[in-house]
Amino acid sequence: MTNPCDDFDSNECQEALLSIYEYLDGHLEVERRTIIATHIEVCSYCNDTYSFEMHVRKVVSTRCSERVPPALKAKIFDAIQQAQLER
Amino acid sequence: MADQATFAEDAMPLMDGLYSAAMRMTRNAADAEDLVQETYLKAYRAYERFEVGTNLKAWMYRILTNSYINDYRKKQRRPDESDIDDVEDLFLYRRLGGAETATLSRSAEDELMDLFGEDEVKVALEDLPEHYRLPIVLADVEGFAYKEIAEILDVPIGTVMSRLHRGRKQLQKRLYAFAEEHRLLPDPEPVS
Repeated sequence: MTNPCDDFDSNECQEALLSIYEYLDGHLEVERRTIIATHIEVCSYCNDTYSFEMHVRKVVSTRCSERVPPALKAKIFDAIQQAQLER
Repeated sequence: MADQATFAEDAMPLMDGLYSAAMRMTRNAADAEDLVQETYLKAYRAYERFEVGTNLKAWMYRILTNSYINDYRKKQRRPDESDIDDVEDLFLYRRLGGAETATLSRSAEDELMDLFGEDEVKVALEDLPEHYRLPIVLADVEGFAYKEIAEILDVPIGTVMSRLHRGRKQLQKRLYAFAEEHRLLPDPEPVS
Protein backbone atom coordinates (compact mmCIF):
# COMPACT_ATOMS: atom_id res chain seq x y z
CA MET A 1 0.00 0.00 0.00
CA THR A 2 1.35 3.36 -0.97
CA ASN A 3 -1.24 5.25 0.99
CA PRO A 4 0.66 7.94 2.91
CA CYS A 5 -2.25 8.31 5.26
CA ASP A 6 -2.49 4.98 6.98
CA ASP A 7 -2.69 7.23 9.94
CA PHE A 8 -6.03 8.99 9.57
CA ASP A 9 -4.83 11.59 12.04
CA SER A 10 -1.81 12.74 10.04
CA ASN A 11 -1.40 16.47 9.57
CA GLU A 12 -2.20 16.28 5.89
CA CYS A 13 -5.44 14.46 6.62
CA GLN A 14 -6.35 16.88 9.36
CA GLU A 15 -5.83 19.73 6.91
CA ALA A 16 -7.91 18.03 4.25
CA LEU A 17 -10.77 17.27 6.62
CA LEU A 18 -10.74 20.78 7.99
CA SER A 19 -11.24 22.13 4.47
CA ILE A 20 -13.78 19.58 3.34
CA TYR A 21 -16.86 21.82 3.33
CA GLU A 22 -15.16 24.78 1.72
CA TYR A 23 -13.60 22.51 -0.85
CA LEU A 24 -16.88 20.86 -1.76
CA ASP A 25 -18.56 24.26 -1.86
CA GLY A 26 -15.93 25.40 -4.37
CA HIS A 27 -14.80 28.11 -2.04
CA LEU A 28 -11.06 27.46 -1.62
CA GLU A 29 -8.50 29.58 -3.40
CA VAL A 30 -6.51 27.82 -6.11
CA GLU A 31 -3.43 27.01 -4.05
CA ARG A 32 -5.25 25.34 -1.15
CA ARG A 33 -7.57 23.67 -3.59
CA THR A 34 -4.69 22.11 -5.50
CA ILE A 35 -3.05 20.86 -2.29
CA ILE A 36 -6.28 19.23 -1.16
CA ALA A 37 -7.05 17.78 -4.59
CA THR A 38 -3.60 16.18 -4.70
CA HIS A 39 -4.03 14.82 -1.21
CA ILE A 40 -7.42 13.21 -1.74
CA GLU A 41 -6.09 11.64 -4.91
CA VAL A 42 -3.49 9.65 -2.98
CA CYS A 43 -5.20 9.23 0.38
CA SER A 44 -7.97 6.67 0.30
CA TYR A 45 -9.30 7.67 3.72
CA CYS A 46 -9.80 11.28 2.77
CA ASN A 47 -11.02 10.26 -0.65
CA ASP A 48 -13.70 8.09 0.99
CA THR A 49 -14.68 10.90 3.30
CA TYR A 50 -14.94 13.44 0.54
CA SER A 51 -17.00 11.14 -1.68
CA PHE A 52 -19.27 10.26 1.20
CA GLU A 53 -20.03 13.92 1.94
CA MET A 54 -20.68 14.49 -1.75
CA HIS A 55 -23.12 11.59 -1.79
CA VAL A 56 -24.99 12.91 1.24
CA ARG A 57 -25.38 16.26 -0.47
CA LYS A 58 -26.57 14.61 -3.64
CA VAL A 59 -29.20 12.71 -1.66
CA VAL A 60 -30.40 15.90 0.07
CA SER A 61 -30.57 17.79 -3.21
CA THR A 62 -32.36 15.00 -5.08
CA ARG A 63 -34.84 14.32 -2.30
CA CYS A 64 -35.73 17.99 -1.87
CA SER A 65 -36.08 18.99 -5.52
CA GLU A 66 -39.70 19.40 -6.50
CA ARG A 67 -41.58 20.10 -9.69
CA VAL A 68 -43.94 23.01 -9.55
CA PRO A 69 -47.57 21.85 -9.93
CA PRO A 70 -48.62 22.50 -13.57
CA ALA A 71 -51.78 24.30 -12.41
CA LEU A 72 -49.71 26.80 -10.43
CA LYS A 73 -47.37 27.35 -13.35
CA ALA A 74 -50.34 28.09 -15.63
CA LYS A 75 -51.92 30.38 -13.05
CA ILE A 76 -48.75 32.44 -12.67
CA PHE A 77 -48.23 32.59 -16.41
CA ASP A 78 -51.80 33.86 -16.88
CA ALA A 79 -51.37 36.42 -14.10
CA ILE A 80 -48.26 37.81 -15.80
CA GLN A 81 -50.02 37.94 -19.17
CA GLN A 82 -52.93 39.74 -17.53
CA ALA A 83 -50.57 42.25 -15.87
CA GLN A 84 -48.97 42.86 -19.25
CA LEU A 85 -52.31 43.58 -20.89
CA GLU A 86 -53.12 46.06 -18.17
CA ARG A 87 -49.99 48.10 -18.65
CA MET B 1 -32.66 47.67 -17.59
CA ALA B 2 -34.79 44.61 -18.15
CA ASP B 3 -37.86 44.60 -20.36
CA GLN B 4 -41.07 43.45 -18.67
CA ALA B 5 -42.14 41.86 -21.95
CA THR B 6 -39.41 39.21 -21.62
CA PHE B 7 -40.03 38.54 -17.92
CA ALA B 8 -42.07 35.35 -18.37
CA GLU B 9 -39.54 33.90 -20.77
CA ASP B 10 -36.61 34.80 -18.51
CA ALA B 11 -38.07 33.84 -15.14
CA MET B 12 -40.45 30.92 -15.76
CA PRO B 13 -37.59 28.37 -16.07
CA LEU B 14 -36.62 29.13 -12.46
CA MET B 15 -39.99 28.13 -11.06
CA ASP B 16 -39.25 24.49 -10.06
CA GLY B 17 -36.34 25.64 -7.92
CA LEU B 18 -38.26 28.53 -6.37
CA TYR B 19 -41.15 26.22 -5.58
CA SER B 20 -38.81 23.67 -3.96
CA ALA B 21 -37.29 26.40 -1.81
CA ALA B 22 -40.74 27.78 -0.95
CA MET B 23 -41.85 24.32 0.17
CA ARG B 24 -38.89 24.00 2.53
CA MET B 25 -39.50 27.51 3.85
CA THR B 26 -43.24 27.36 4.48
CA ARG B 27 -43.44 23.58 5.00
CA ASN B 28 -46.82 23.32 3.34
CA ALA B 29 -47.98 23.30 -0.26
CA ALA B 30 -50.74 25.92 0.00
CA ASP B 31 -48.42 28.58 1.47
CA ALA B 32 -45.63 27.59 -0.92
CA GLU B 33 -47.92 28.11 -3.90
CA ASP B 34 -49.05 31.52 -2.65
CA LEU B 35 -45.47 32.49 -1.91
CA VAL B 36 -44.23 31.55 -5.39
CA GLN B 37 -47.09 33.38 -7.06
CA GLU B 38 -46.48 36.48 -4.95
CA THR B 39 -42.77 36.30 -5.76
CA TYR B 40 -43.43 36.22 -9.51
CA LEU B 41 -45.87 39.11 -9.43
CA LYS B 42 -43.56 41.25 -7.29
CA ALA B 43 -40.65 40.38 -9.57
CA TYR B 44 -42.68 41.23 -12.66
CA ARG B 45 -43.60 44.63 -11.24
CA ALA B 46 -39.99 45.31 -10.27
CA TYR B 47 -38.47 43.87 -13.42
CA GLU B 48 -37.75 47.22 -15.00
CA ARG B 49 -35.36 47.84 -12.13
CA PHE B 50 -33.54 44.54 -12.68
CA GLU B 51 -30.20 45.09 -14.32
CA VAL B 52 -29.79 42.83 -17.36
CA GLY B 53 -26.67 40.69 -17.18
CA THR B 54 -26.69 40.45 -13.39
CA ASN B 55 -27.82 37.34 -11.56
CA LEU B 56 -31.55 36.85 -12.23
CA LYS B 57 -31.72 33.62 -10.25
CA ALA B 58 -30.25 35.24 -7.11
CA TRP B 59 -32.53 38.26 -7.59
CA MET B 60 -35.63 36.04 -7.72
CA TYR B 61 -34.56 34.08 -4.63
CA ARG B 62 -33.99 37.30 -2.79
CA ILE B 63 -37.56 38.39 -3.53
CA LEU B 64 -38.79 34.95 -2.47
CA THR B 65 -36.84 35.10 0.79
CA ASN B 66 -37.95 38.62 1.64
CA SER B 67 -41.59 37.78 0.89
CA TYR B 68 -41.34 34.72 3.07
CA ILE B 69 -39.76 36.60 5.97
CA ASN B 70 -42.14 39.54 5.76
CA ASP B 71 -45.44 37.83 4.97
CA TYR B 72 -45.31 34.15 5.87
CA ARG B 73 -43.01 33.62 8.77
CA LYS B 74 -45.39 35.40 11.11
CA LYS B 75 -48.02 32.75 10.70
CA GLN B 76 -45.73 29.74 10.96
CA ARG B 77 -46.86 27.15 13.42
CA ARG B 78 -43.66 26.85 15.44
CA PRO B 79 -41.43 29.48 17.01
CA ASP B 80 -38.40 28.78 14.98
CA GLU B 81 -35.38 30.48 16.43
CA SER B 82 -34.32 27.81 18.88
CA ASP B 83 -30.65 26.98 18.62
CA ILE B 84 -29.17 23.60 17.85
CA ASP B 85 -26.63 21.61 19.77
CA ASP B 86 -23.18 21.18 18.32
CA VAL B 87 -22.57 17.98 16.40
CA GLU B 88 -19.19 16.43 15.61
CA ASP B 89 -17.81 16.83 12.10
CA LEU B 90 -18.56 14.10 9.55
CA PHE B 91 -21.32 12.70 11.74
CA LEU B 92 -22.81 10.29 9.20
CA TYR B 93 -19.51 9.26 7.70
CA ARG B 94 -18.24 8.17 11.10
CA ARG B 95 -21.28 5.94 11.47
CA LEU B 96 -22.05 4.77 7.97
CA GLY B 97 -18.99 5.30 5.83
CA GLY B 98 -15.37 4.31 5.80
CA ALA B 99 -13.53 1.10 5.18
CA GLU B 100 -13.54 0.17 8.86
CA THR B 101 -17.28 0.07 9.34
CA ALA B 102 -18.05 -1.23 5.83
CA THR B 103 -21.77 -1.19 6.51
CA LEU B 104 -22.27 0.23 3.04
CA SER B 105 -21.22 -2.31 0.50
CA ARG B 106 -22.44 -1.17 -2.89
CA SER B 107 -22.35 2.34 -4.29
CA ALA B 108 -22.53 4.63 -1.29
CA GLU B 109 -24.83 6.98 -3.12
CA ASP B 110 -27.35 4.23 -3.95
CA GLU B 111 -27.21 2.98 -0.38
CA LEU B 112 -27.85 6.44 0.99
CA MET B 113 -30.68 7.02 -1.48
CA ASP B 114 -32.30 3.77 -0.30
CA LEU B 115 -31.76 4.63 3.32
CA PHE B 116 -33.14 8.14 3.18
CA GLY B 117 -36.33 8.54 1.21
CA GLU B 118 -37.99 11.74 0.14
CA ASP B 119 -40.12 12.20 3.25
CA GLU B 120 -37.28 11.53 5.67
CA VAL B 121 -34.93 14.04 4.11
CA LYS B 122 -37.64 16.68 3.80
CA VAL B 123 -38.77 16.26 7.39
CA ALA B 124 -35.18 16.31 8.69
CA LEU B 125 -34.49 19.52 6.79
CA GLU B 126 -37.78 21.19 7.63
CA ASP B 127 -37.25 20.50 11.33
CA LEU B 128 -34.07 22.56 11.37
CA PRO B 129 -34.37 26.09 12.73
CA GLU B 130 -34.87 28.53 9.92
CA HIS B 131 -31.52 30.30 10.10
CA TYR B 132 -29.83 26.95 9.45
CA ARG B 133 -32.45 25.62 7.06
CA LEU B 134 -32.44 28.49 4.57
CA PRO B 135 -28.67 28.49 3.88
CA ILE B 136 -28.77 24.70 3.37
CA VAL B 137 -31.67 24.93 0.93
CA LEU B 138 -29.89 27.67 -1.01
CA ALA B 139 -26.50 25.91 -1.04
CA ASP B 140 -27.28 22.23 -1.26
CA VAL B 141 -30.60 22.17 -3.10
CA GLU B 142 -30.41 25.31 -5.23
CA GLY B 143 -26.63 25.38 -5.76
CA PHE B 144 -25.83 28.96 -4.75
CA ALA B 145 -22.32 30.08 -3.77
CA TYR B 146 -21.58 31.56 -0.31
CA LYS B 147 -21.49 35.08 -1.70
CA GLU B 148 -24.86 34.73 -3.40
CA ILE B 149 -26.42 33.26 -0.26
CA ALA B 150 -25.00 36.14 1.77
CA GLU B 151 -26.71 38.57 -0.62
CA ILE B 152 -29.99 36.68 -0.74
CA LEU B 153 -30.23 36.39 3.05
CA ASP B 154 -28.54 39.73 3.72
CA VAL B 155 -26.01 38.33 6.21
CA PRO B 156 -22.17 38.31 6.13
CA ILE B 157 -20.40 35.48 4.28
CA GLY B 158 -18.84 34.24 7.52
CA THR B 159 -22.31 33.82 8.98
CA VAL B 160 -23.42 31.85 5.93
CA MET B 161 -20.42 29.54 6.29
CA SER B 162 -20.88 28.89 9.99
CA ARG B 163 -24.62 28.30 9.64
CA LEU B 164 -24.07 25.92 6.75
CA HIS B 165 -21.43 24.09 8.71
CA ARG B 166 -23.51 23.65 11.85
CA GLY B 167 -26.75 23.09 9.99
CA ARG B 168 -25.40 20.35 7.74
CA LYS B 169 -23.98 18.45 10.71
CA GLN B 170 -27.28 18.74 12.52
CA LEU B 171 -29.10 17.53 9.42
CA GLN B 172 -26.84 14.47 9.30
CA LYS B 173 -27.51 13.76 12.95
CA ARG B 174 -31.25 13.91 12.39
CA LEU B 175 -31.05 11.65 9.35
CA TYR B 176 -29.07 9.13 11.34
CA ALA B 177 -31.47 9.28 14.26
CA PHE B 178 -34.33 8.64 11.88
CA ALA B 179 -32.62 5.62 10.30
CA GLU B 180 -31.78 4.24 13.70
CA GLU B 181 -35.27 4.74 15.05
CA HIS B 182 -36.81 2.93 12.13
CA ARG B 183 -34.15 0.20 12.21
CA LEU B 184 -33.14 0.94 8.66
CA LEU B 185 -29.44 0.56 9.26
CA PRO B 186 -27.82 -2.54 7.79
CA ASP B 187 -26.43 -5.04 10.28
CA PRO B 188 -22.69 -4.84 10.66
CA GLU B 189 -20.76 -7.52 8.79
CA PRO B 190 -20.40 -10.61 10.97
CA VAL B 191 -16.83 -11.09 12.17
CA SER B 192 -15.54 -14.42 10.93
